[in-house]
Amino acid sequence: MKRTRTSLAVLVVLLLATVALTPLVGSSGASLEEVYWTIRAPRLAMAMLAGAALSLSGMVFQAVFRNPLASPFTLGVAGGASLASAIAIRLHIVGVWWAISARAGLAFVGAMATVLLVYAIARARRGFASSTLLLAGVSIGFVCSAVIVLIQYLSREHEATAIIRWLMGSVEVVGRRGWLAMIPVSVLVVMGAGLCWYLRRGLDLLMMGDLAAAGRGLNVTWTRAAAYFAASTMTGAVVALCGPIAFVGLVVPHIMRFLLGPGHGLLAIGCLLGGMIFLPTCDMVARNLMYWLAGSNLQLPVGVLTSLLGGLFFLGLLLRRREESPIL
Amino acid sequence: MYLEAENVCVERAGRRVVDGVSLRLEPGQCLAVVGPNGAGKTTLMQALLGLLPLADGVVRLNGEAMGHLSRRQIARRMAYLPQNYEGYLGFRVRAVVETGRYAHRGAVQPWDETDSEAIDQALAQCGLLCLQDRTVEALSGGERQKVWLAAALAQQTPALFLDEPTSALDPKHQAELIELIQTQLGTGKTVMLICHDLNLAAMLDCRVLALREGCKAFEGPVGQFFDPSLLRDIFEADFELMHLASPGQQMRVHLRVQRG
Repeated sequence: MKRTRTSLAVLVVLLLATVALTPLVGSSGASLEEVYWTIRAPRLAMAMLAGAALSLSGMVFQAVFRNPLASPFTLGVAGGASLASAIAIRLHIVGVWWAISARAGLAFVGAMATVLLVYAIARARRGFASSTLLLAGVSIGFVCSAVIVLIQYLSREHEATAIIRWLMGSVEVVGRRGWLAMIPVSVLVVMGAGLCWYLRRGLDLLMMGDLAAAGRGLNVTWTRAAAYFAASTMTGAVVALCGPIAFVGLVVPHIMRFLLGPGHGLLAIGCLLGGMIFLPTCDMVARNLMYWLAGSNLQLPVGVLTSLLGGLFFLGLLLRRREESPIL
Repeated sequence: MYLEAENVCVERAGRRVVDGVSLRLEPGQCLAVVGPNGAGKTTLMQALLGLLPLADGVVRLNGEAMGHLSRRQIARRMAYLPQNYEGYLGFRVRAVVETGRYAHRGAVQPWDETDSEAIDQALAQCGLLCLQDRTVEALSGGERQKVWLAAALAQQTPALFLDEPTSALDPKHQAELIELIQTQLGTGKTVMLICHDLNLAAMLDCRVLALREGCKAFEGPVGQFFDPSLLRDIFEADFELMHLASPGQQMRVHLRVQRG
């Protein structure tokens, strides 16, 4: 219990430090005041929102599949969003509705279409078991990736570059339009997070196996479907705006499970806090890394850094793994 | 609590695994389900618990058809100890036993004293109080089995459904588990258990329901069941009947293996 409290206190302090400090770091020609409100603050908010949503939905997917290596993108949500976005780029579908670009809107539609399709396939194979859901999601994801490659092949160079950039994942949002675009995303994320919070005991039960969970009084099918939709909606909303930012949904729940234990009530809080610390910090490093290393003004998309860190994190975990470690 | 099943049929992958089984489980009764591997014992138990769709027949709990009851309503009356647990990543013993209270509290209601009393009682009954802060992965197989049983006991249901509760346990843990089941029977609970150890049915003085290829092959008191020719028909193996001198536990059967 003491460890839990200490961990939570440290997380809150780190979060405050992230909010206060990360927007201050960086080089720019303009005055900090100007840069702060139009560029850095919206970017910080977007990174916090995306980090929290991806971490929490990673946690949910890991519970639904009883597999600590499941991620928010395992079921092809990101694939659907990416495919729609690639189509938008290739066909030059531009335009802004309110603050949402046509591309982001289409990406969200693509994500949700995938979610429904995967659900329908899993449902049709009667039972909605986690293995059918997994197979359906992974296959749809593969199909999406294949079509994206095809679109890239058929694209002109600058379009292909735009698609690849989008696939890297970035939290770059600018100015008033950026703030406005975050409103619907945060509404969806708050709704999804609320549902995950409501399902926390059900997620604990799912970890014990479907039969045991049902025997304890859990409606397994309903819980799994609700968890799937809640996590997928959060992921879809974030990915539509930011692209698939890899590994956040894997690394953060892992660290939180180590600090706070496997109970999903506390874990959910930890994932929200951890995501809001991890992604803004990574983004701060990503946009300054080239400047620190080479004095260049090139800003890396945050997805590049999270992928690198994520890969190294799991490699480190594997090499350090002790026999009694329950985590991996 | 009483449970009645009429002509229960269950299909798995197009094959009838349970075929027309009827039974009644009266309050306070102990029923042992026995039969060869693949006879449909586990499937029957899951069907009685409403965990599987029926191809035909009906199961009624206190006179109400199982299909009309929610999982939570069922779980307040019948607790289930499955044969294998699939996963439990890093939970502490107490947290696992706590899940037994789900049917009483639901998704968000905080635990109250009734819950913590039920949890403490279940932990004490299973001798787990000193292990409650350990993670399940750190326990032995026998201790884990007691954790699952404690979770089922914390559910505080009038009936317990135990799928091979003593298999894969060493003699000491087996004895402890049998004692526990006897205590539960003593408090008036209904118990249905699946076992491969036929003598367990004699020790608990159960009614016996024998399944063979999904059909009911025998139902009756254990004294009648211990008939070597009947056992041969059901299990395709030779048994020898022994009478014990000690009072209370009169008969045992014992497998005879042909040599040479």
